[in-house]
Amino acid sequence: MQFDLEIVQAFVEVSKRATALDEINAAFMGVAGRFGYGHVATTRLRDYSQGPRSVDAVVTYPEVWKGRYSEMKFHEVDPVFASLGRRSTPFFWSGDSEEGTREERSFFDESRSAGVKRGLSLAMLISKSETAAVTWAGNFGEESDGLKHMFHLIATYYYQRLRLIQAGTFDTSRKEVTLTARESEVLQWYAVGKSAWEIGVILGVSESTVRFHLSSVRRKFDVSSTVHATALAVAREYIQI
Amino acid sequence: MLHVITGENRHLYTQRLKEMFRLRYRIFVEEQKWSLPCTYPYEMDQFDTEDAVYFIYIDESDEIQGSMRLLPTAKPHLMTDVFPELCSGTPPSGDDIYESSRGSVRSEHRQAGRIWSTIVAGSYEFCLISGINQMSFVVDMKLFSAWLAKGADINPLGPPCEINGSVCVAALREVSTEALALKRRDAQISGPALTYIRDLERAA
Repeated sequence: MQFDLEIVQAFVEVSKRATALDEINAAFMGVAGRFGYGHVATTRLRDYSQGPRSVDAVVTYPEVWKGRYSEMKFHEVDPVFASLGRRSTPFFWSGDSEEGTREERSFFDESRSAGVKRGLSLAMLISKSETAAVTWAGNFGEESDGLKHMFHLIATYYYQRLRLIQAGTFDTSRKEVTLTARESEVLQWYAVGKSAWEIGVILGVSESTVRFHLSSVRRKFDVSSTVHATALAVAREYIQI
Repeated sequence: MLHVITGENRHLYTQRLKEMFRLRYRIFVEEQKWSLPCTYPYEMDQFDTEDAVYFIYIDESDEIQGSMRLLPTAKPHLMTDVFPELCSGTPPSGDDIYESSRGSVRSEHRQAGRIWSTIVAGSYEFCLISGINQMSFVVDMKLFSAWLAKGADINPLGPPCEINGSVCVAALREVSTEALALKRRDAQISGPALTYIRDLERAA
């Protein structure tokens, strides 16, 4: 199919109005389905050796297949997963071919029976250490240059809007929080598992000073646990882990 | 200070324009390796005429740190003459639409982004006082994606295509007071970014 700007623009308009995850996901799945792709998968990848992170993932693959994928550590075999780190434009992939190693072929045999035979994926660098992967997959998906270009734009609009929504940008009840440099620093260390005492040693301040900063952070986010405050700070990208 | 240069005050900036064309050569030809129709030491093309509007940022050391160009879309411009494949239909044109191009700052300022934000804020100010409502531009997809991440209100005009070794897209954005307020915040300024000099005594 030829590149069709109207299809892209229609999605762009919906994405700009979407303020909830359900809205943006439904629109994204709708346009995928139109081109024969029954599944979408969106994950953030930090450390490639660890496989896709499931925390903020939107994956419509059958549960059985998702379970098999993580249980069998299929990311170590999946050639699509390996390609994501090397490519910055969308690419089609297919498990049809006779090429590839024996492991790859048997991986695709299983993936096909789960309804994930071919697809279109885009990797986007979203910070120094994180890449996001957006995929349309199915057994009957269309493959053309026009679609690849449309997907490039649609997936980019989709993922960036998804991030804004996940960060609570459109949550009207949300209180605007401003952390001081010291508070973010303390929370950053807390987020990677350091105790108040350890953070004190790292930053050269007393343990009670660290506790004081953490209590300010809790007060600012209006929550009673530091874990909760940390989760919010990560989701809104005040800190990165 | 951010200066705006139009056909009207261009005669006051002859030396500055030369300096800007030299900086553009350094950035776009030598550093970015773009293949452009120009000759050393100036990067100039067929659109660098009296119709072009320039924004140049000059710092305390009296050197240009960055610049940007706006072209009227009522006349031939990049999307009509150089990159027609980037637009699915006819490129947007009209008296109230200008196309921005050749925007850049010296490499040492790119990380911080403050000078670039000042240039963009100044270009919005110019648009708002000149009745220009929309700005078209061609941008690298990675940068486009990063702008969307910040909630930018931009619309694609056609398929992403490879230009000078990177995948770029043509797009259009509304110029609004809200967009200006956001840019001023990024630039860490609270008032106008623009300096518009029309008489000789005050020229740079």
